[in-house]
Amino acid sequence: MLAISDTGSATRTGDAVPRQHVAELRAESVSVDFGGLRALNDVTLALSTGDLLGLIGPNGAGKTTLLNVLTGFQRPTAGQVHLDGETGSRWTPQQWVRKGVARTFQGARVFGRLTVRENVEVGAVAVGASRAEAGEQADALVRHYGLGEYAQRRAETLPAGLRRRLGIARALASQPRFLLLDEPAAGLNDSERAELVGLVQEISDEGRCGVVIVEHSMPVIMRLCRRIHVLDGGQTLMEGTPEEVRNDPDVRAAYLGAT
Amino acid sequence: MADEKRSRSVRSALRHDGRARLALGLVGLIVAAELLSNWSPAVESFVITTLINVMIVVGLYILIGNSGVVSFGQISFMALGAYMTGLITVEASRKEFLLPDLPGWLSSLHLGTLPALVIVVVLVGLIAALLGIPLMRLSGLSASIATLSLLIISNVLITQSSSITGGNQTFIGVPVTTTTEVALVGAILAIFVAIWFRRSRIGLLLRASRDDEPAARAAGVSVTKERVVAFGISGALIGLAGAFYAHFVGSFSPDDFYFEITFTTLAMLVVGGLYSLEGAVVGALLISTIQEMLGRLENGEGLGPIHATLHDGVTAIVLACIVIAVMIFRPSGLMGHRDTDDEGPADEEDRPTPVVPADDPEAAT
Amino acid sequence: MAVLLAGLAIGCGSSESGDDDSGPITIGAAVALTGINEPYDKPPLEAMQLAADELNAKGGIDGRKVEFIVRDMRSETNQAARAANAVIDEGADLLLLPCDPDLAAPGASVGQDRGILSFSLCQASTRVGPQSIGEYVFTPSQAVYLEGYVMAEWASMAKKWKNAYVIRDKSFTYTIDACTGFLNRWKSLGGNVIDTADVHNEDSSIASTITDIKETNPEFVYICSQTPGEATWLRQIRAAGVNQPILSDMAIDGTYWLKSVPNLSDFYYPAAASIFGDDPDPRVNEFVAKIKSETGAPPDTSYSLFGPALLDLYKTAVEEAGTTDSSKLVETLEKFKKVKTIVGDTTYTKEAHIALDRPMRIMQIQNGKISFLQMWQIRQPPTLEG
Repeated sequence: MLAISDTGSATRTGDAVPRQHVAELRAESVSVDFGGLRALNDVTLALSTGDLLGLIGPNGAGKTTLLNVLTGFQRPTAGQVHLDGETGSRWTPQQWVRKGVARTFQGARVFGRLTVRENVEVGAVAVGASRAEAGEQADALVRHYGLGEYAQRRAETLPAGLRRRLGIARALASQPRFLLLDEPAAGLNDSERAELVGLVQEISDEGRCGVVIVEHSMPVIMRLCRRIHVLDGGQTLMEGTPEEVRNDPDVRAAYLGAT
Repeated sequence: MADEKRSRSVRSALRHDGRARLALGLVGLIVAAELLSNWSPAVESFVITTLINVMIVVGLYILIGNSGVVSFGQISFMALGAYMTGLITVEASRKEFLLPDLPGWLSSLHLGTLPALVIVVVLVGLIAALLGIPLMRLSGLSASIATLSLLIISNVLITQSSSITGGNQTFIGVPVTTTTEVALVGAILAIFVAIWFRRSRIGLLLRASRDDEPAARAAGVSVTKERVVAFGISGALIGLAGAFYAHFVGSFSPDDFYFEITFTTLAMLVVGGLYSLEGAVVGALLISTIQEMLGRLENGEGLGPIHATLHDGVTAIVLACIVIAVMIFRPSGLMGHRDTDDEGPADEEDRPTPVVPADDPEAAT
Repeated sequence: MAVLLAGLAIGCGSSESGDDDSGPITIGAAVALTGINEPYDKPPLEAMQLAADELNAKGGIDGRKVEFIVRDMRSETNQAARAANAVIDEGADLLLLPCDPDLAAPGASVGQDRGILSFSLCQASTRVGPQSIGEYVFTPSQAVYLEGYVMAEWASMAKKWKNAYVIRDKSFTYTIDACTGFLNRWKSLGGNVIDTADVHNEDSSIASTITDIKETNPEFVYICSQTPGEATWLRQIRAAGVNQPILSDMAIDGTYWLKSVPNLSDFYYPAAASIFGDDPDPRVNEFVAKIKSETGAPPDTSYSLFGPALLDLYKTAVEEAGTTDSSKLVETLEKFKKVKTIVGDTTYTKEAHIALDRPMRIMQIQNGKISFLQMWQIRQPPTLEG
């Protein structure tokens, strides 16, 4: 169990919804245009607390754009995003994370010149935790994610695998109800990848958090996810169980052709 | 043998323990300032100038070091502080004589240096924060250009508001109250404000946004709000430095707060290290000292046994070369990222040796 | 860092006291030897050094030789205090400061703080003095206001003119002050001001003002300005056929600009002395000749003579006080009543450390030649506020 599970409190995010309530994050017929290019076309996706949804698709399929829409980095050209019935299409990234939707980026994007511990503290402090709370939480997360001996090192000096863990720890410090992971396993070696799968599994098992994971590595997705959403060229190709996805001829054609 | 071991462990403690360095540095600063000031009035004036430079550069560091936004406009607040304290502390009769068109309430206002300094810090800080609201929405180059415009606009305002500032004329008659001790208090205050701010909640969020702005926004940092606060604190400190400067030279003109000092103080920060408080202090001390020594030679005043006379402008060229050399060979500045509250080094080979002197509780954290 | 600081400290060992009343008297000049103010500061300083050589040859002041230490303040306000401190550290008994009030003020503050008597070489603003900085601050020059007063009295009393047209150059405090002085005295004498046209020194044409002058037809034009603007405008005024007398201020003294206004006539201005060999005081003519023989050229303007005038004042003060102690000299100087100098009798008071009632030479330009016209002793001197 996560050591932080007792330190959080519902008052923190200023959110009246109690932790155990099953929340829903939903993209409803979302389209995004970049100039003439349609990056997303009428995509609908929903998940609840406790879900672990895989989001796959070839390069340029619109996976990261969809995460950006769900975290306020990109406004949808058409369609809406909802969190627990509230319309969040115009929320800023800051509002999204304060409402309980945290994300990571491709390549982790840690705060390089901050120490490892400070990186995690930022995650908590930025959503309103006091310094004392944030410190406790950071210590717990740093320890839990095996970063204890690096706590006072500058984050830019960490190897890639540890940076990914730090990115996740920092996102978790905001005590999110939804966690969106953008290619967390890219560029990792097999053992680092296995560790990462374990971590994500653990977060999901805890049941306090719905997880979306964008990933290229099929073994990771297949092992982790009960449901997989497949994008291609900005459109939803299908959504289903790993088994269904694996056996779908369209998916095979568009994406898995080689396997 | 034991001595050698001891000295090595002291050195290691200094290398690895920010608080030990801070304590030793401050003691060194105080002792050096006091000893040098007693040498002669000229050296005392160098010491005070240097300490005021430390205040300014630390003020710049608070904004630039923590937020990564390079501002060319902070010297506006130095000017504001200087003129403000001048208007408050010059005797009413003198003001009536020098600035006959001054609005009545300002003309009759006359307070001592201390209340004036308090007013300067509060008002300049507030004004800086207000100006920061639009300016700090910008990032990178556009923020730098906008702040440069602030510098130019403030210079035009000062020279054109002649009924209040005397315009291009030298503002004279400010009581000379900045002694070495006062300047030391100012410099040390600036250093502690910088340490406090860096460690504060807003300082932490700001440093995160400096390293990766989108990631910081995703983590919930507003970025603009934190930058505005830093802009205000930086402005307040630099305004205070301006007031200290006014009370040091007694008379000043708008040109004292323009491009030259803007670029000199930025060069100090760059040479020391943009992102390090220690760098800000070391850069200010080093460049001020080099400037003083070369300036003496340029003026034919001699320097101990050296009696060479340098051509005018050599100081500026040497400073420029130092900046270029630092940018090429140590792009992160002489002090790199070292900071007083780093509890350990970042590089593998730089890890603290397990030996810490047992009799030094400060080092044994 | 420690090495640098140590080196710096060693560099400043030579701090000696200037208080002993034997040995040479040290005059420390912290003035502009480079930069925009150099043409104003160098001539009076060199003239003063020349006068000091003469004085030393005759035994100096009370048997003490006069020596100079000169430090360049580079026409920069932020170098002014440093240069002043440097010459005081080297033992200056008297501090000399630039001719520009803005550049003189920082050094004057240093002198005030350190209790050293200071004289600007020739600054003429009442802004820098005991009211603004303190009692140690003096200038040998007349107040700018006096220049305006002298021309107003001369126009009204000697010429009996009634209608003036004023062109005021708003670019410099000096020129504004000259106009203030003229207007205050002119109005108090019952003179009529047809119009006051405000211009700026960089204005290349003042055509509308010239049209205005032609339409209003004043008896004379008073113009407070300085070169290069004033020379350009004079040429335009005369070229447009405006032939009325033109009166101006001392900043126009000298011949260097005359060739740009060929055959200028009916032009009058006040000066500290005539450098054209026709001054009523033979000492002036002798000194001008001496400068010519020493340097190969006559002085450019009569501002040079403020240097020897300053030495006259200092010599008298030291001889009367019997010491070079600054505070005693200040007391003595403040009691000066019509003390003779090369530029005229000088009176100082506790309030006025600048000449307010000194007689001035009125100079005239006819057919492109400058000559002495007459002395003018002011009937009613200006105040420090104009």
